[in-house]
Amino acid sequence: MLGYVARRVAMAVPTIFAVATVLFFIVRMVPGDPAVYLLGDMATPERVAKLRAEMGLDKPLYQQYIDFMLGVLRGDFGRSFENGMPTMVRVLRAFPYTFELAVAGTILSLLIGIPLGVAAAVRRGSKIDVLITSGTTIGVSIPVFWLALLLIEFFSVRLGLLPVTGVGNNPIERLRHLALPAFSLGIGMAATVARMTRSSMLEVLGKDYITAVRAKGAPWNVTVYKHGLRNAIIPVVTVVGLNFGYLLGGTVLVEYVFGRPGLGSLLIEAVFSRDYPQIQASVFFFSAVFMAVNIFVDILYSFLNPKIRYG
Amino acid sequence: MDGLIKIGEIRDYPSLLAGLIIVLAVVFIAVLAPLISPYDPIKQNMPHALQPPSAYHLLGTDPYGRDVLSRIIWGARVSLYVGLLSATIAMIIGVPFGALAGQLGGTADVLLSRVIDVMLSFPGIILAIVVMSILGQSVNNTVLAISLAMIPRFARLARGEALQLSVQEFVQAAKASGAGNLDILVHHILPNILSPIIVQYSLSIGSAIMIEAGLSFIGLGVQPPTPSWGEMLSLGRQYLYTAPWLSLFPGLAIMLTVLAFNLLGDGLRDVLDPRLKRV
Amino acid sequence: MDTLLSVKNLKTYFRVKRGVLRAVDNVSFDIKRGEVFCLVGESGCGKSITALSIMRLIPYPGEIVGGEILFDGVDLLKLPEEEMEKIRGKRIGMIFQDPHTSLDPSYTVGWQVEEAILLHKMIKEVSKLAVNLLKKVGIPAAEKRYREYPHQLSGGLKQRAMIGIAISNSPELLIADEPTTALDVTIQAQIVDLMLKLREENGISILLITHDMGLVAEACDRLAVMYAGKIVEKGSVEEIFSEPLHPYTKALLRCVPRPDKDVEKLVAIPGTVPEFPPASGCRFADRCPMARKECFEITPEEVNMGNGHRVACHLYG
Repeated sequence: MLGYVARRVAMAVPTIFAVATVLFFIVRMVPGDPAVYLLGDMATPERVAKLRAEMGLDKPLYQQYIDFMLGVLRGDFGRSFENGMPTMVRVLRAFPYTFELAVAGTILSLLIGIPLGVAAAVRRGSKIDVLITSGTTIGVSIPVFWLALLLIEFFSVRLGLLPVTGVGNNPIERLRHLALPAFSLGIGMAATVARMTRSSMLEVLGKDYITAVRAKGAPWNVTVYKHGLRNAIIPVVTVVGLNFGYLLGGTVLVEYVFGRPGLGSLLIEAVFSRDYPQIQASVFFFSAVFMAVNIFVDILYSFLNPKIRYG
Repeated sequence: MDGLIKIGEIRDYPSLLAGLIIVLAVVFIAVLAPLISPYDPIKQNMPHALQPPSAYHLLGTDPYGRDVLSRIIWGARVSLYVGLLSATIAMIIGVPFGALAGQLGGTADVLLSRVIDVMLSFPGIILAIVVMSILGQSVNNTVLAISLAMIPRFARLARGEALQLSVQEFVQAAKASGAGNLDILVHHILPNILSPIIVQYSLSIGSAIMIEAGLSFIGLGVQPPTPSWGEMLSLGRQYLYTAPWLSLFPGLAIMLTVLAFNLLGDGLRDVLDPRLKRV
Repeated sequence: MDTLLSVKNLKTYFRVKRGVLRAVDNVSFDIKRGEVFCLVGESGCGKSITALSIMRLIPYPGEIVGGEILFDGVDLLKLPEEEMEKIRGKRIGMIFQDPHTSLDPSYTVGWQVEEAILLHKMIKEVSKLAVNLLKKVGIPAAEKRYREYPHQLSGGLKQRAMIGIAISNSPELLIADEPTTALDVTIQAQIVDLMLKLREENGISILLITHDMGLVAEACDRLAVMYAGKIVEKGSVEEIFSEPLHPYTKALLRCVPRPDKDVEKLVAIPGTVPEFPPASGCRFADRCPMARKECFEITPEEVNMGNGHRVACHLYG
């Protein structure tokens, strides 16, 4: 299995370089002078000169590329226009807030979604199944930022229970500030998880070995959990991984709504202030995180599936 | 061609029916906007600002005195335009490339798969944000950005299906009798992968509408004063305490429209995929 | 008591969109202690559903709608689920057709054998017992196999493991649903020998479900022939093979290639088993070479022909 892990990581390396390359070219493939164009209506002569220097636009293209890639290898994506700080440093400072939001959202989606999916599958065709299935269909259609606003309206405005903006200082406050954002993300994801769990469970429960286990005298709940869910969870893991990109996109919107100083807010801020080095660094980091999660999910999958683990 | 629906059987597919009805309703509303919209969605009317829902303004008014219902009706135009166009462009570009890669295999396939991987390593909305940040904000740039974000999913789907088809006998036979690759693609592969592509198309329209709303929400999509549901929510956010109706209705509109396309997609999948037919 | 299992008027129906599938329709037969009883018929005739009905493991959307299943005098259909769970795997064991899908792919073979034992009693040295069980069913290198996952074993070994699981608590009845169909011919013979050996040593009764008349001839004491959810003929192996009565039974026997006779060609029975047969009339009528007018209208009753040989056909009653 170690070989599998090594192979997966090795496969990701060229992709991440390709991502960096794409980012390199994307800001240069514009009509006219990139620096002027990119700065748009913020194009003062000093800013243009600064951006030109930053991007190395006076050097030949291949030289720019080499400089850029060397920088990438060092983790140096240039300095932010906003405050002159190294862009990667700003990214790394913002990341923990995004990380805790993504993790909390994922955990919530699993805690809510898996039991719902199992309940629907086990009571197939019943009123509960219909209710859950309809609920999840609606759930995947709800815009995450709208849900955030609704939750704020209800829990902050009406009930005054939970805070809206910021992140909090001590652990308790951190959690209180995390609650609404995490639920905004988690509920939508939970719908997807529930659907996947349900269909995976239905497939597994139709398999011969489930009948065989019951023929041994196993009670229904042992069968459902030890044998049903144990096997059904494997594709669910994959789906969570595949949808993690969607989740990351959601964190951008949720951070915006709740004013959390995470990667998403950093990116949006950079976009509006046309801080291209910062945009590059942030997007690169998002991609890297996404790829890392995909690798992690692949490894988890091969761990859970004995056919891959033990060849 | 298999997959034709008999009208009598449509009752067996509630998702399809529901989705179709709502989609048609939204299309009607968007097309007939000038006729059915009670007020001008753009003209400001400050004396009537921030009024809760009433007989005169069924869904209330916004901070500029504009009728919310009218703005939602006109907002349907933007959502449908962006949604339909983005999904269509993504499909027209993604499917042929993906199918060709799956059909040809070898280096073409490896190359394309790598490109898809790279495109997929950017979460959808983030890719759209980056593209918008470079291109600038306008409706058509939004379409471009969202199309770009959605091409990989069509390419990947088409590739997978084409791969399975290319090893089947009728394709081998066509190759053996001298048919060119393009010929095989058009006459043998594409017609047979229509079903999953159509399903994906419907689902992608829903995704595109969702992404457009998100972009408009953070201020990167359609520019005011053009009414867009996402932008309306962004405004509503600032008035959560005083005018909650501003946040409720545009979001509801987004949800219902996306739901409709999802139901349509699910329904089409039930109808077109014989393997999933229930006894 | 001589009779271990007595199935009386069993009806198992499936409610589907197109109608009601009468998979098992008024089926009755007895199995004595220590005997090998075969339920024979083509695919789709309801024999597997009969077996699952005895175990009360009918899949959705099926339901047992009538009849009695007397196991050692107790009607299984009236037992509460917890009592039924004490019978499954302990007094009645079951093995299935496809060994590749009958074992949970996520647990080791040994774990699954242990589970079968632990579900019914607490034993400290359960792993030793499990390994011995694997040895008993003829699995070589049992200790090694014990730690392996199902996908690492061949079909024949998996089927042996399944048998081990089924007999782990010394049941009185073993239900074997097409145990050899998915296996190579050579392995088939080994599995059959194994089952017969177990019958010799432990006096276990076996309900053998198969479509292979050759297997019936080899292994069974008594048999019942099923068609489209109904039993058309039953009796001892000697009786039925020497004097088959029902046209369907005769047709089935003609299908078996016999080395002792010169056969010009293999005969197949034209037509297929009906899914939704008409409410009355013999179900075999439309494929029967001897069919008369009454065969399409009146359902034939079972007639006793002596020596425990019974047949349901208008030709005889």
